Amino acid sequence: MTARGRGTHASKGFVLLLLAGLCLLGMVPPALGQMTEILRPSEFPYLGNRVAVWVVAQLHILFAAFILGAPVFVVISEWLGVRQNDPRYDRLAKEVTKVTAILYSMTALTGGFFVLVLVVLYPNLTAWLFNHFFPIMAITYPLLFIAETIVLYLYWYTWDTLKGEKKGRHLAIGVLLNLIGIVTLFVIDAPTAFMNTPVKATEELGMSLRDYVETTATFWDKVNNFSWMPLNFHRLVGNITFGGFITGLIAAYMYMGSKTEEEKAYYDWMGFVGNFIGIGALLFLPLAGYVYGSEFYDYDASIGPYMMGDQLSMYFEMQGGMVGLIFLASAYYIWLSLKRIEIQDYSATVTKRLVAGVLSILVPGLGQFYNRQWVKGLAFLATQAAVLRAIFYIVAPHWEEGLGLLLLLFLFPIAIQIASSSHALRYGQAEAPAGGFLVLPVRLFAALLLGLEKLCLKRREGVIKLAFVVLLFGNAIWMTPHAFVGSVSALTDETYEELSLPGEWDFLALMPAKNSAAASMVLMILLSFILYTRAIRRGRIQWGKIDFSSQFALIFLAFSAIWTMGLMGVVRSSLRKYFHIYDLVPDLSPDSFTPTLADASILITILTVVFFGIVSLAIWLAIGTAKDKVRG
Amino acid sequence: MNLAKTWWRIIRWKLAASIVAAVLLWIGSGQLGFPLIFQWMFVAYAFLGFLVFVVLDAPPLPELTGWKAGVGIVLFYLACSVVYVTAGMRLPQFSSETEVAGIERKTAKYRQDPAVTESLVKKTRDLSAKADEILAKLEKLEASGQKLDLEGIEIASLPSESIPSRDLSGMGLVERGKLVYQDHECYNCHKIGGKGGKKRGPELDNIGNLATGEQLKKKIFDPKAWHAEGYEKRKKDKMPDKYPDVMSDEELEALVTYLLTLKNTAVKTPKPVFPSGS
Repeated sequence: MTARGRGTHASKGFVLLLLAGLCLLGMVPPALGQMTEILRPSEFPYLGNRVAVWVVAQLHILFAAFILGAPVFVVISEWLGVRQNDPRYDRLAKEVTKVTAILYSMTALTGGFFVLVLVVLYPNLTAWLFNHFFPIMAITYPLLFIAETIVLYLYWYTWDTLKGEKKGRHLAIGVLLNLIGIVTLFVIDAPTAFMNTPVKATEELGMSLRDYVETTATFWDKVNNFSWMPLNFHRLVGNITFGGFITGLIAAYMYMGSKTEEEKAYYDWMGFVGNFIGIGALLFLPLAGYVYGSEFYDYDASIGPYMMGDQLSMYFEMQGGMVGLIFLASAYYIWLSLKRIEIQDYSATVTKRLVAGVLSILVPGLGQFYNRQWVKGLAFLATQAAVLRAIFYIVAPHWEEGLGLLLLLFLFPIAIQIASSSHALRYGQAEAPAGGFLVLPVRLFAALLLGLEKLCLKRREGVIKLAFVVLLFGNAIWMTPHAFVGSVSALTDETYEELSLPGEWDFLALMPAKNSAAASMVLMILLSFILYTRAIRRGRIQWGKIDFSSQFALIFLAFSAIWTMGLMGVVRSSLRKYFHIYDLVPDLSPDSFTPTLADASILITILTVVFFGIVSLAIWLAIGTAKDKVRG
Repeated sequence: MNLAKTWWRIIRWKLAASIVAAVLLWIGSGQLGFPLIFQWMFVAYAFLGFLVFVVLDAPPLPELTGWKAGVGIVLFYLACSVVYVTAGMRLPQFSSETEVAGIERKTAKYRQDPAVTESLVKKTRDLSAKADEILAKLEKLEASGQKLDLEGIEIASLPSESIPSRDLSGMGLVERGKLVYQDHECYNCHKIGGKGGKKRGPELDNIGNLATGEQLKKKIFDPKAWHAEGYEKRKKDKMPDKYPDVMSDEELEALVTYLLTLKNTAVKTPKPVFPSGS
């Protein structure tokens, strides 16, 4: 039997399993709806019910994140292949789709496992959710899943037949696949978000939450709850990030297994593209996470502080460290990528650009430190000049650089100002310091890029090192907690002074400083990438000649992204302290404990390694065996 | 030997710079009033910077192929796993004993008296049977066109102790109140003695002098009843209104008793502002 034949049989087997799972799922809601007795839940041995549900849910989410995120850039990659007449893009899209098809089956299997575990361990909660979200659970979601299965296999199996003039039809199937995927994500996010932020009545109605949900709230009210859209945005961006990093992982594996220079060059390029997608989407994740987190604070004053100040605070400290490491690894990959570019053209930049560039960047930055009106006036003018200059870049050939510069010049100061003002408005205080000390190094870096391009290109390695300094500094700010305790309740009179930030430095723990730090880190990556694209335009890139440690950087990025998702999954589960559905379905069982970060770290790591094992197997099945066959 | 020389050339100035940076950060942060643990954090960042810049200038890694690449990947996963688990363990942990004690208090009623759960299950079954009886009667009446007669059908009600009290017997009321304050995590928004969350809610150190027991009870169970001075414009971060559903009357009594003992006039607890007409 050929590898393709084996793959075909395996795919068919998975489809049959999937259909069986869906049939089983379809039986559950009517069965539960007919039950009138209170069901006694079972006890999951050793782990406990909540941890068991978390483990299965997390596995399902990890697979689902990839199969929803990957098709987004797969279709874009396929389209780029047509537009630029570059077969590498089509090959990348095809190989990633092959892995997606195998992992899709795992998503379905773990999803079925998840539902079964919920029904057995939490029958009453499951019945409650199924009853309130019946149209989703029993109709929409299964239908979407069937539709996605059909379209995914259609997309895969027509790849070689719909080509040339028919490529547009194949792309259309890909777009349809993505639309179904996004709708599926949004649909299933509704009950998930509802569990944390169920819809409340307006103050005018004056009804309690329970009465409103049971008697008045419509189905759409329950779906469109407070945290639904922020969760959708966060997960959509996160899925694309995750898909990009897994693509980088695939490329790293295949690079290491390459036998020819041509293969190495291709997988080097694939790793770059995967990293580019992952990092590009990652830049929006801090914003998505902030919007999502702030929704909890706005919904109920007790959830947010429990998340960030109480028992889950050190989880976010760990998350800060993880994100910092991910940014450092990304910058390291850009650094290694720069090293393999041979620059041939160091022609000087125009003097006017040099002056305009330096002034437009530095003066607005300096203006923040001086109160003299004339400086502020000059700063305003210079900012407008900078914006115009950025627009010039947009309409010029290198539009993407102009867009990046526009984001830097225009939105960054606005973002800092909003962060500072919103904090003041919320708490009725004077504006909190927003970490303006980070603004100047970012602007300095941008000034160098704009005005001293030749110097930057010649000393590009040194310039990127500046970026690392800002990244380290920004991450230090981001990770600085208000107090080094596992829970704010642990602070005693004796330990308060020893473990907390001094009063005059407390602003380091506030959101404006965190937002400034995150914005600075995001912008440094963006600027590093702009330097990289400038270097490519003036030189020649040698694909396949990258330092071998870059492949471990790609593996590290995927591992860390998965670990961070697991960490946030524990936060998601533990946030529901003493409740399954906020203020509607309590959980006063012994299982509603919050695991310590130490225990959670072990469980997250085991889960990450298991997931990596399955993904590695899928990559070998999808791509490795095909290559062995070709070589054989 | 050459490799050692190469590495020494890469490391030496960076190590010197990191040590200087660490010393400056230690002294500087100490002078600025940062506690010891934060000073150590800044020093750790100096050495993280050292590691980062060493990695940047490290010689190229030799390529691994075949089984060596596989072993390299496995070892790399192992190294990442060890680092992350160690970091998770080294960060401050909340007390698991406190967590377990809190859970036990909240769930004590169910664990100590399973008869309550059984009684609730029996009552639900009885209610369900009664509902079926009523439905059957309704169907007959619909068919015959007669009016509904509910006489003779007893409609049971849920036991009045629907929110179980925790077994806090043997403890003084003020001590119980402190536990209630902890268990319901009031510290996340309010400060007492300088300890607690950021200024979402007013500091409560002097609340015993500013409000009566009845006013406090009303506020906890109905946050809209009155507000603290200076908090009238708050559109967000309002006090949750879930406590009638999660706090028993006994807990409320204990909490208010504790709050009434807080009479520290040195702290500026804002005064209650009642709606006009109340």
